[in-house]
Parts: sequence; C-alpha cells; structure tokens
Amino acid sequence: MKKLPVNCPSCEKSLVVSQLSCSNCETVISGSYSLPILLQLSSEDQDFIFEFILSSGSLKKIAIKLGKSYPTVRNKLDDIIERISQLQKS
Amino acid sequence: MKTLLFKPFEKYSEKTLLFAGLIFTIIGSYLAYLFKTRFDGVLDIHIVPNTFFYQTLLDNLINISCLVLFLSISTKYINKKTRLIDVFTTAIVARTPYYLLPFFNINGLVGKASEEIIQYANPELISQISFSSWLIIILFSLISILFLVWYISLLFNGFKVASNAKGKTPIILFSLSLLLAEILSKFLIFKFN
Repeated sequence: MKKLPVNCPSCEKSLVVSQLSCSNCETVISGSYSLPILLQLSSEDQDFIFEFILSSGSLKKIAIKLGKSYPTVRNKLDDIIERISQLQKS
Repeated sequence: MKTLLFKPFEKYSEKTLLFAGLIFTIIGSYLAYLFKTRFDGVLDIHIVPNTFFYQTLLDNLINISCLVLFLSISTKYINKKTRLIDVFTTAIVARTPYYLLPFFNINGLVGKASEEIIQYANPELISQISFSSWLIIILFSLISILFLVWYISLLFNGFKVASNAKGKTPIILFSLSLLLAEILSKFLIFKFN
C-alpha cells in the first residue's frame, strides 16, 4: 500500500489536498483542502489508533496484542495525544 | 536479548516483572547470606565476616522501599498518571545485577583478599601483599562497576517507562532520587539492621 505523504519533502511543512478525482467517471475536483488531523499523524500512530478502536479502548488488550508492557502502550497514547494537541494548535 | 537485559520494562507485564523481581530478591538475599555479603545501601555492597539471612533480606527490603519512595515522588512529579506498581517493579527488577555479585565471594575469595590488603595497607608492608589478592580485588572492583552501571541503566529505563520521562529534568530528578534513597537506606540499615 502506498504511503500518504503528509509533509513537504522540500520544506517539511504540512501538505494540503489540491486535487481529488473519481476513479469511476474521472471527475476532477481542484481546490485546497487541509488534511484531517488523524491523517497528519505518522502511519505508526494511525495504526495504533486503529488498534485502540478495535480493542474498544482497552490499553491492556493492546499491550497483550502488541507484546508490550502497559506503561509503554500508555506512553504511546500520551505521545499521540500531545501530537494531536500540537496539530490542533498549529 | 538487549530488551531482556536492559529494557524489560518496555515489554513485560507488571505481573511478570513483579513475580520475577520478588523471586530475584529472595534468591539474591539468600546468595548474599551464603557468600557473606551485605547490601548496606541502595548502591552499596560489602563483604562481611558473617551475616544472617534476615539481615540480607532486610537490607534489600529497605533498599527497595527507599528507591520506591523517592522514585515514586519524582515520577509522580513528572507524570501524574504514573502507577506505583511500575515504580515498584522497576526497583525490584533493576537490583537483579547486584544480586549476582555475592557469587564472586565464593569460598570467601574476595573477603580474604581484602583482609590481606587491609592488613598490609602500609607503605612499608605493601610489597607483602600477594599478586593474587591484588588481582582478585581489582577484578572484583571492575566487575562491581560494570554491574553498577547495568543496575543504574535498568533503573533509569524503568523510571523512563513508568513516567514517560523526556528531556533533562527527569535525569536530574532521577539522580536526586537515587542520592536521597542512598542516604536514607544507609541511615535505616545502620539504625535498624
């Protein structure tokens, strides 16, 4: 699966969506749309959030599934929360 | 292997760490009794002429309690979500390298060598100290330093995982906690054990 780039490889600023297209009728929409905050997170963080939802928000279940300790998993969640807060402010 | 030796707190559950830590503490205390060693301070290990199992066990319980006390204050200051169980497992598992050190005093090897050195610790008599005693003491000192580094790195890794510590402030708090734990443990062991 192709990895969605979220930062500019040249200046590292956040990228925006400038074009969307329909794969069925080939309609193309141009504009400037900001990426949703969740998509601006790293793929590793997105995978973690995905696991978090699938585990009904149980960090203990995620810890068992990922083979990590509970504080390691909780720290990961805290780091993601902090990253989201930073993205909301920017 | 690296995770098991230096970062077990990132991987293993608190139940596993607690169980392993308690077993290591009891075995470590028994080894210290067998090989006449005292853990008379959070960072101390000394060869003694004689000891009892209750003394070595109490040494370790005091050391663990002092570590838990000061590390939990620091970790709570860094991160309010820190759990006491994570600090406790850090303290009991991190001390494991120290529990291996009494082995080196098998047949009173280190004790005899240090007695000989103390006996001839005089500029005129120093040449009478045997080469083997020097070698034993130097090797034991080097191994003790290595195991001390291993112990502190385990302790710091556990501290970081328990509190999600980042930056320089936690390093200062960790060092301060260790120093205070050392002072208090020395005092308590001297007073009660």
